[in-house]
Amino acid sequence: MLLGDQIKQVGRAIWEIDRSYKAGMRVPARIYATEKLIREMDETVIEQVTNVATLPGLLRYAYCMPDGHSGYGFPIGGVAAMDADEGVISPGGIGFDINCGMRLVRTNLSEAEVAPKIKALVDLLYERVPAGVGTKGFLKLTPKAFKEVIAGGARWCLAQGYAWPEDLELTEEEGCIPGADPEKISTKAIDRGLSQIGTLGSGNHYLEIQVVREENIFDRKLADAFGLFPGQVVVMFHCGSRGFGHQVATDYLQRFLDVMEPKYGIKILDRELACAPFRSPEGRDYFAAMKCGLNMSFANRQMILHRIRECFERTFGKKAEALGLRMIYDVAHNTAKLERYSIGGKPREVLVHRKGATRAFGPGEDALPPRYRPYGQPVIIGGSMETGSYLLVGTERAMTETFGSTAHGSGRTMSRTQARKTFRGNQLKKEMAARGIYVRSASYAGLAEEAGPSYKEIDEVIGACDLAGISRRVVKFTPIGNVKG
Amino acid sequence: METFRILEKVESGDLMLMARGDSLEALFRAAARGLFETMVDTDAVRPQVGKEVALSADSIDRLLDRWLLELIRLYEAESLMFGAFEVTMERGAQHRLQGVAMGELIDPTRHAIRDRIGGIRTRPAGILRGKGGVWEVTVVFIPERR
Repeated sequence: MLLGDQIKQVGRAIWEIDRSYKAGMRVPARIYATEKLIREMDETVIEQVTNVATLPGLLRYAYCMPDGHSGYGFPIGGVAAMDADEGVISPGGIGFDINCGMRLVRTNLSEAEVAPKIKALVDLLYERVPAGVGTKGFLKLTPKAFKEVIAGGARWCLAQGYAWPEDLELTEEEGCIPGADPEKISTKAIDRGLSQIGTLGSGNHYLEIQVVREENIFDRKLADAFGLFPGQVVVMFHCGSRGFGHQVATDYLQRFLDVMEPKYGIKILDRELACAPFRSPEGRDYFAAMKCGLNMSFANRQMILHRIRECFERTFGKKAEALGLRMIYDVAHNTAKLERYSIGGKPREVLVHRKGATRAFGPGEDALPPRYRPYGQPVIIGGSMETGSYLLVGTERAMTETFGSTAHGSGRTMSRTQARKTFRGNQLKKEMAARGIYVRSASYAGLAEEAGPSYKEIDEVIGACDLAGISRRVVKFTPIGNVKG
Repeated sequence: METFRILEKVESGDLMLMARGDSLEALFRAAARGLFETMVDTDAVRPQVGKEVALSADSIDRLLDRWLLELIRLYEAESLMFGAFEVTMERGAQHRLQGVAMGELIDPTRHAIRDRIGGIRTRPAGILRGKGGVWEVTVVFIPERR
């Protein structure tokens, strides 16, 4: 990435690209990054974020977060806030894996208690939480029942006995976003999602056992507020709406391409930015269908949590309640949501697209669970399986600067093919075991693809968020066990 | 003649497939084989099950999208991997495709799993007819994790 006249530093970790960069830009673009990160960024990110800046109804800036890399139309790490009345909705601004997200669960177990049983625990989790290609969940659902799941999200799980009431309170949107309409979903999408509830999936989806180390607590008061203490074992996992979300996005991309220019006169620089006016029939249909993807994913992560609790009960011979297997929070990465912000001193309804970006609401926001309202929203950011992950907290600055958004992960620096050539899965497994991380993976090739050096330095990404003030570090977690999809 | 080549886009992790065929039918077979080659060694897939597919579309490009998406749906919904394909096509105002995908239930002990494809990206260039009348297309597959 070449920094020069067109990419100017405007803050400690903020870079701006003026509207003059490209014809048609309605607003400038902003990239949140350290100098190291922006220099390493793929140039496609610049093209994509400035393409997004041409979309109708975009407010303030087209944003890219510190872990930004190229994606479908929009960069991954992209945030685009649209005026709800004049703006558009775009599947490319949300991502295919709708509500791909992270869930963090605490325990009252210490590393000393878990370490002797880590192999048995990870092996059991690997067996009970289906991962990898071609896996099916343990739920046998009819299409009718699946429609109830995508309308009800984690609430459906609670009704079926697969959730605790507080799980819902501690999930974004309380695990069920209102307005999801299964009638806007194709038969193909239902077909693809039917057997995928309770499955981790493949690629960078994972389930990890982690430890809070004393030296990695950055804010003791907040760590305490989130129920974290030194030596504690926590569970973090990452997955989404699987093939269901992909099919929803595919269905509506085609529909938008058919009407975008002929019916609405919207011209775009890249077909992958296909969109429709948010208030149009097509836009409203996609919003209602996309919400089904959100709910499917909330239900998926809830079912996985149910399985995790069963695995801990079997391994430690105590009830999940006694083991303190309580959620800290569940965050969504790939979404579009209606939120209210002050624009020009007036409150306005805004459609915020977050693609590979995490909501990071600051203290006092009504959308937060009452117990977290004084502190801000927990923000869960996964790193590579070798380097650790973070818990951050949302800030008031994020509310005023980035429509309450921050980074979501670390982002790849090496292709999967290159990683497979560079690292050997079986060797990596041995090396990680020597460093105290026991891994089970669906394949050695898949393990090699996720080797730590294949990703950006998570500490640098988190540092950029912290420097820019769009979220603040609370705790870094160290992995001791990993199930990789 | 039907061939394909798989490349990977470094940053996005998307997989780019370049398929060629001396007929549209051959091109569609090559693209389908390439799709499953991104996920598994298709030589290791035994043709134990045949799934019939019938599709139509108003353009050849859209027909290819539908063909590949239908194969993705079949493997996800029925946990099948495919390694061989038959295609017949009828061109007209509505282009029609009759196909058979042959494969077997996914068996992780025999199938070396590579990636899981969730969807395909739009292709501005579409299907082209190059030198010697050979049909060509570039398709970008989106791994499920995106």
